[in-house]
Amino acid sequence: MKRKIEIGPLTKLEGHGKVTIKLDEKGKVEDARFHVTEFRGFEKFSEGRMLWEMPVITTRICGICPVSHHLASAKACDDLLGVDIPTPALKLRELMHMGQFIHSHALHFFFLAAPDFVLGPDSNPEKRSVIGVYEKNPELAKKAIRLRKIGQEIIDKTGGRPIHPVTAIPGGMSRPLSHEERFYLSKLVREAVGLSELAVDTAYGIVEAYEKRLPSLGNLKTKFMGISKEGSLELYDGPVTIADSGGKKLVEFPGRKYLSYIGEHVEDDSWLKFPFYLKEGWPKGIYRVGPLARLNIAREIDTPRASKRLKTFKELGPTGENLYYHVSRTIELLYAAERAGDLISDDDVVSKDTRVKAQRKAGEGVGVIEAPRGTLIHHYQSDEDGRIKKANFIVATAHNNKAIDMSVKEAAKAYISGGRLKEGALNRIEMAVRCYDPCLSCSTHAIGRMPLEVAVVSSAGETLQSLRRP
Amino acid sequence: MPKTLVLGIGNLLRKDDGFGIHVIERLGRAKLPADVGLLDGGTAGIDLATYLEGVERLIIADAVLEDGPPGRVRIINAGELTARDYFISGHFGSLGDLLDLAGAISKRPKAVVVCAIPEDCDSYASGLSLPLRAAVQEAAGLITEMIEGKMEWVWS
Repeated sequence: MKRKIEIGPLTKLEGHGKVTIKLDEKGKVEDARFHVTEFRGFEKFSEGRMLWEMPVITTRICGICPVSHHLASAKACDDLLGVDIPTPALKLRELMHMGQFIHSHALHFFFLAAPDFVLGPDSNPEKRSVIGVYEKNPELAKKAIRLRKIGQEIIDKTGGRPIHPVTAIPGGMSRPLSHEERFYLSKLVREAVGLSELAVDTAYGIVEAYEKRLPSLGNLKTKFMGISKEGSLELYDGPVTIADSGGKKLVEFPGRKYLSYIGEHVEDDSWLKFPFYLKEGWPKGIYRVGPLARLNIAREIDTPRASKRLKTFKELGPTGENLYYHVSRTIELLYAAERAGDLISDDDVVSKDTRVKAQRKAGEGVGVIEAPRGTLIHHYQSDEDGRIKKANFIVATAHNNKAIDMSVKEAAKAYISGGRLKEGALNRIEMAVRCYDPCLSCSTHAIGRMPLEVAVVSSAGETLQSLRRP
Repeated sequence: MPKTLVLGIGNLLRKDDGFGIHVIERLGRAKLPADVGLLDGGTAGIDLATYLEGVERLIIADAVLEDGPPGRVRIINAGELTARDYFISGHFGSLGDLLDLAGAISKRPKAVVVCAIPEDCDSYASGLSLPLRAAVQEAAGLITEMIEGKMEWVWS
């Protein structure tokens, strides 16, 4: 009798996801699936909205990466309206974006991934959380909190308000930084660089300690996709590269032409679309996005400290091993801190020339940006009144969905057999998923929901075993 | 941050899920005492910990799914909600986690939750369902009385 193991909602991920592992009669893993909830509702919701509302509305999609949506949306509006924004606006937006990277990458590494490593994957699940890390290593936790706060401060000042930014508008930015804000941030950014170096060291320490113990967080051969500017790591704006599993560039295209290169495959039991590289078809064209992809694609980084770290990273050769998502995430964190410093030192960030006028028109526009988790695409069609007729969003987690399935299957195979379910085994599967820093149904507010439950279900739908997570 | 903070939680795009944000917007129309602040916390979840630095009294406005008719407003002492029960975001993190982390960063605030039972938290819509619209007024009224010291609350 076939058995299905379901895990989830996954702890320490964003939103609610469910993992289903199908066992065969012998108790071995037959198949695995990572379920992501639907996102189409938001696309329908966007229809009828005014174009210039979109940068503000879309900040509400996700509580962790509102800036990425805010900026992708503004870029899509600029593209639709046919405007080039002034250079100061470009720099201010990129600075906000670096704040997001600092904030988001520090959050993921220290509070979502680190508990597994600092406390150990077999430790008491109740303690394997932010507070657990804080109790075990308060100095590390304090530094992480500080780093996240710095990211938040950059976003708050450039974005115009806490949490949900409002300053990126079609045509540019609604205002520059004040001199006081600039001075304040310049001190914080210097601090962030030092803290980020610590994060990279910690990441390497973790990988070295766990590499032999956890060989199966998933080592996949997939293509990679990400923005890259002439071989350099680039997060705000540039052409999109798709590379092979060795990091070798296969194709490069401007973001607005994404439909000619990316197809979307739909499977019955998941609402999420599965993007793939059209030329290679499905499933050969599966690619991954995010820090690991970006660092495999980039040949260099143009800030000094992160550049050094990239060289060390490249000594591994191209890597598909999921564990290295954590290392690459911290290297990007360091780049973001350095880049933020460069941008703040530039007088353009206090220039009053931050916007150009734009007239509403019927048209189509695409905004592509590298969000912390990977490539984010906003695509709008508007009528002559500026009302959205159609909207399409591809979020980073959608690009990675199939790769996550594959990683779950690989991790499950190594840790579950003979039908035995161990708490640590389930968590290791979650750890494989966490490498991708996935954002699931980021619009769902969990309110007083049921405690986490694992169900082993037979193919006849009978619950054989039920585990409750505390 | 001010000594007393009114924090709205929820997703404005998901109908009644945004109840807490509507309450904040409502309160924002009135003049508040100097040591009271408002924050639209969205679904930022545990990230809100850094915004609680220096806050001594925390009043949370939120939709909370429990037994009862949609729109019913009540005040929950934060101590009533065990850490794992009350998630403040689709992202990881419960109210207990948030308060613990705030306590680790600076000082753990005393907290109450002024909540309403939602009717629909899943649909994509920018407004509230009918029972929740009245609830905004009621919740805002209760919070105003708390701020003005006209009611005594047992903080936890």
